[in-house]
Amino acid sequence: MTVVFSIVVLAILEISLLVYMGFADWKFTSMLMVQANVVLYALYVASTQSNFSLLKSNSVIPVVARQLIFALLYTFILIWIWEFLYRDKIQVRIPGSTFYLILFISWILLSALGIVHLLISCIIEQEQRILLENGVQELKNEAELFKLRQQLHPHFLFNSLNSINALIGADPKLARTMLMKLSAFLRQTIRKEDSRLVALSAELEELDLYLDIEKVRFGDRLVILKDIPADLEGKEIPPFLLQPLVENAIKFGLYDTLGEVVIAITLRAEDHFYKFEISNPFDRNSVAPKGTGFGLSGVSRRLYLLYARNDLLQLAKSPGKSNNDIDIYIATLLIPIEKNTQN
Amino acid sequence: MLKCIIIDDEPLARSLMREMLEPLEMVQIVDECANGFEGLKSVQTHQPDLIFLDVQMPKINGFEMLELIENPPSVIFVTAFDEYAVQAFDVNAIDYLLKPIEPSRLEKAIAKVQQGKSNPKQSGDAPHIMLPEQTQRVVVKEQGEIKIIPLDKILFLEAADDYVKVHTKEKYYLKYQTMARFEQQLPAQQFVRIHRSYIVNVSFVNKIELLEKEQYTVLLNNGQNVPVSKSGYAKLKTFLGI
Repeated sequence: MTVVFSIVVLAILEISLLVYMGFADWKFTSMLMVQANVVLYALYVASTQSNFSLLKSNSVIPVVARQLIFALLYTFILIWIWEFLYRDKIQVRIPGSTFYLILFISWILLSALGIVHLLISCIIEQEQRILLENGVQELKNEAELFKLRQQLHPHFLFNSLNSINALIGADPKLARTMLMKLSAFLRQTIRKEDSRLVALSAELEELDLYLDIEKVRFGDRLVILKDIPADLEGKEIPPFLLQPLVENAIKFGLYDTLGEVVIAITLRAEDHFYKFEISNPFDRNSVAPKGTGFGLSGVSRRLYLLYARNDLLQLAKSPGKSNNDIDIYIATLLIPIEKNTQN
Repeated sequence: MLKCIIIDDEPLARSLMREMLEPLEMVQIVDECANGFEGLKSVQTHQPDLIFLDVQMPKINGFEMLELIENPPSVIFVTAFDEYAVQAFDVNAIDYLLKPIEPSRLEKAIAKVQQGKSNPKQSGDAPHIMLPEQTQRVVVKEQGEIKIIPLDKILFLEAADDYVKVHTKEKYYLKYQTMARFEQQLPAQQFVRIHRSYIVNVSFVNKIELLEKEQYTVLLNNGQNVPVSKSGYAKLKTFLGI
């Protein structure tokens, strides 16, 4: 838009200048000027605008200087066309000194116009940039919020608060313990940075807090069997792997069966891996409702990002002991032991 | 006096609810249930006026349980996180309470139930259940037993008065629900309504046979025939891309 507008203004200015000075009749000159202007000004704009932006350069002077030089070139070419190409068709030749005068006036006019154009496009660009920045900021905020929400586990949090509320009347001591555990768990999950490695003992502590709260929530239905070696000094694993897997197992187990839910968690340090096994019961015939399995896909995506491997999370089913419809689901998580963490 | 049942899978949540309801004179707790199966049985034996229903529960969720009750009592949903709010109001729940529950909110909700009771116009109709979300399974009841049928086991559905026959390879189950409701609930990329009284699972369609002039029938993999209406035939044709 600004380009078209500039061409029209420029053409009118030049024509009126020439006619005023008495060098040409306006009809012929107009035709000529418009033709030349359209082509040349488009070239001119294309050559200046794409490369020189006031916002991108550190100093204004080189940009304006370039604008002036381009304007001079443009004016010269235009006058040259007018003077030499169409000289036969124009009644009055320009005397030598007037030629330079026209050149000079045209140059000033065009430069002024060019700089105005530059300023306008500068303002537009600035506005667009602000819009873009706002958009980016918004996206960032959204992502941040999502992460926070994930860390807060709203469903878990409010159910736990509700359980504490119930315990305040029935068992104030347990209520207090549970509140402390919930606080500790939330503090850890919120504070936890997405760092490369964290202490395995800290991860297991956090897991214990989580499990203790869930045990209070679900009472006798939830049975946790843990087989974890005591010596974990100095061992490290990436965060956000263990707890989501256990959470998934608990949810899967609790919502897929009616009776007692046994969650077994074992940890073995093998030659090159820490091997976690987490098992939960499930109904052979059931159709998982929407939403289950998200924890698993999240963990395997994370493992892929960390180790570029797809075989670190293995899922298996095995028949249950009793002959009812309850089978066992086993998730095996392999975390490569990194050399610098080995003793 | 309102007879009520508490249905929640967390024991502490149930005892808290009991603790909050006991001082209220207008309600009487007749039962507590830990899941939808117990809940359904209890609703049938006690015929309560009101149920407090959790959403996330073992095996079948609160909404699915509600679907199996033919004349459901008033429902107050009680849940921890508000992702289900829209759904709850679609099933005409009296109210929707968030855990931990504020006592004044609970009293207000019960007051709403009482108003509904004294005004037969409001409580006259059975709740019209409308789940906007599409299901991946159909929960049915058979001689008091609850069956969960995965969608890929369903051959077709057939209207039968107020019920719908859900046909599987072995047998059919009756469910108190409308065809329109099923059509809305089932994933459109798998189930097509081919007749006023029939919805077919297209993955079981073997061929479409011409019966007589402009009269078609669908032959399923297991040899069963399902009638197709004129508009149903057009729908099926565009769906299968022929």
